[in-house]
Amino acid sequence: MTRRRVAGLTIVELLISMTIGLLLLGALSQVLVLHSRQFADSEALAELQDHASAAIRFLRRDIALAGHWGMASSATHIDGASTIADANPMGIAVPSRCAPRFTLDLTLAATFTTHADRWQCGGTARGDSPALVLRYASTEATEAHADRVQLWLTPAGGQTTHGEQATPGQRHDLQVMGYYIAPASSLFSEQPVLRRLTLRRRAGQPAYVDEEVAVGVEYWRLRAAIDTNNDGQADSWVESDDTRLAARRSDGAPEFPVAALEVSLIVRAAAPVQRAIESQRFWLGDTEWQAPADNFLRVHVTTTVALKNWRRSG
Amino acid sequence: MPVTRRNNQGGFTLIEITVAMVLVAVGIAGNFKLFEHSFRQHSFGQQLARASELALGLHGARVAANSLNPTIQQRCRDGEQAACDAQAWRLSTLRQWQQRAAHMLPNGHITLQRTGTVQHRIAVSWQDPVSLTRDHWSMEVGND
Repeated sequence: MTRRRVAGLTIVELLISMTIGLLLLGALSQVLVLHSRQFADSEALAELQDHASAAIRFLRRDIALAGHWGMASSATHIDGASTIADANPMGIAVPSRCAPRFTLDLTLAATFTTHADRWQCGGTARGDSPALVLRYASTEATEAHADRVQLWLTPAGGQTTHGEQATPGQRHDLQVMGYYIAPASSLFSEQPVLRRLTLRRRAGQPAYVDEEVAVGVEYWRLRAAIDTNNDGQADSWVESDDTRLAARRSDGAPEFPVAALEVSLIVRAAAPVQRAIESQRFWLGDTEWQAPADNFLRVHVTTTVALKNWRRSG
Repeated sequence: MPVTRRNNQGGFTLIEITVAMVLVAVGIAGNFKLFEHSFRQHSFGQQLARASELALGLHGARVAANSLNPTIQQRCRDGEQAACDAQAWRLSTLRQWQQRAAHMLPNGHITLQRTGTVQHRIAVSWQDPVSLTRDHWSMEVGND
């Protein structure tokens, strides 16, 4: 009698309700997984944006100053610039695979190599992305230092030199920056990295230091704004492999001076996500770039920087 | 006997079941609405990041162009051909950014509108791929 009044669920009812409950829980957990994935993706993308900003900060300053020669009106009037004199009059030790005139090729403020592996100054450059070399005089005048490459700059021109000069002028340190992308960082294994070959001083001698600038930078595309008709106005965008960028006049000055650079960076996450992701296509310059079919998240950032002294670069 | 047994089982009435089902349905519908809103927000966030990147990129390009070729509009009006060429180049740069917006965002569009003597508004719009509604984002810039 008592047993009959308990009136519990039958096993069939229990099974059905448990199945429905499990289905609902399964659906809810799927949604939660999706949400946590989205949250993780957003966090990763924000971190990539930070890396991209760091790379842009480095590039922006050097690009803006490229072609700055203090009080000199033009690099072509600086004695010792390689195009009108000895390729390497100061005997500066350049990395073995760089051209001898690498340091003192002052007349082109910004130079490009279509494929960084052909540039061959960098250690292990990525083959399908360009290298960018920027040269300028330090913004501050400085004292004579035997362990630096310095320029004595005057309104009439200047020279690459050590020691005191008779002509009134100012001494500046020469800055040479060669940016390129390496497929693997030496500090963070398996991560691509933006590297920079920089003219510094080491052990009492001018020397090049090859350093990592921004980890995660996987690929970049460069475009230059140039003056094609020599009217003193930038009037055309060209890709970094455009032959006009390397054209020089007889005095070594650029035939088509670079007025601005547009830099488009692809930055890749440090680790792949544990799932398949959609095919990633990015619009760089005027063309589309297809990311490798892997599970790495990527972001794309484009910035444009004007060369402040572009009219004086040649 | 069968009647007595049925009474003793004490099951739910039709009204109870209906009320329970309605409550569960409302709960599930509410959850789905919440999830849909969440997905939409996530999608919006992603597109917004691209939109701001586009706007900042265009702004950077304009600032660079201005520093290269200052006062070109006035000089072009004064009849200087080089300034007119430079102005045409600036417009072509804007068109390139518009093409990028179309590629980077679904039905993306970017505009540059003068709002004052030196102020401009850069506006980006796109179609949300989930809800198919049109979203907008804009920024004011003062040095163009």
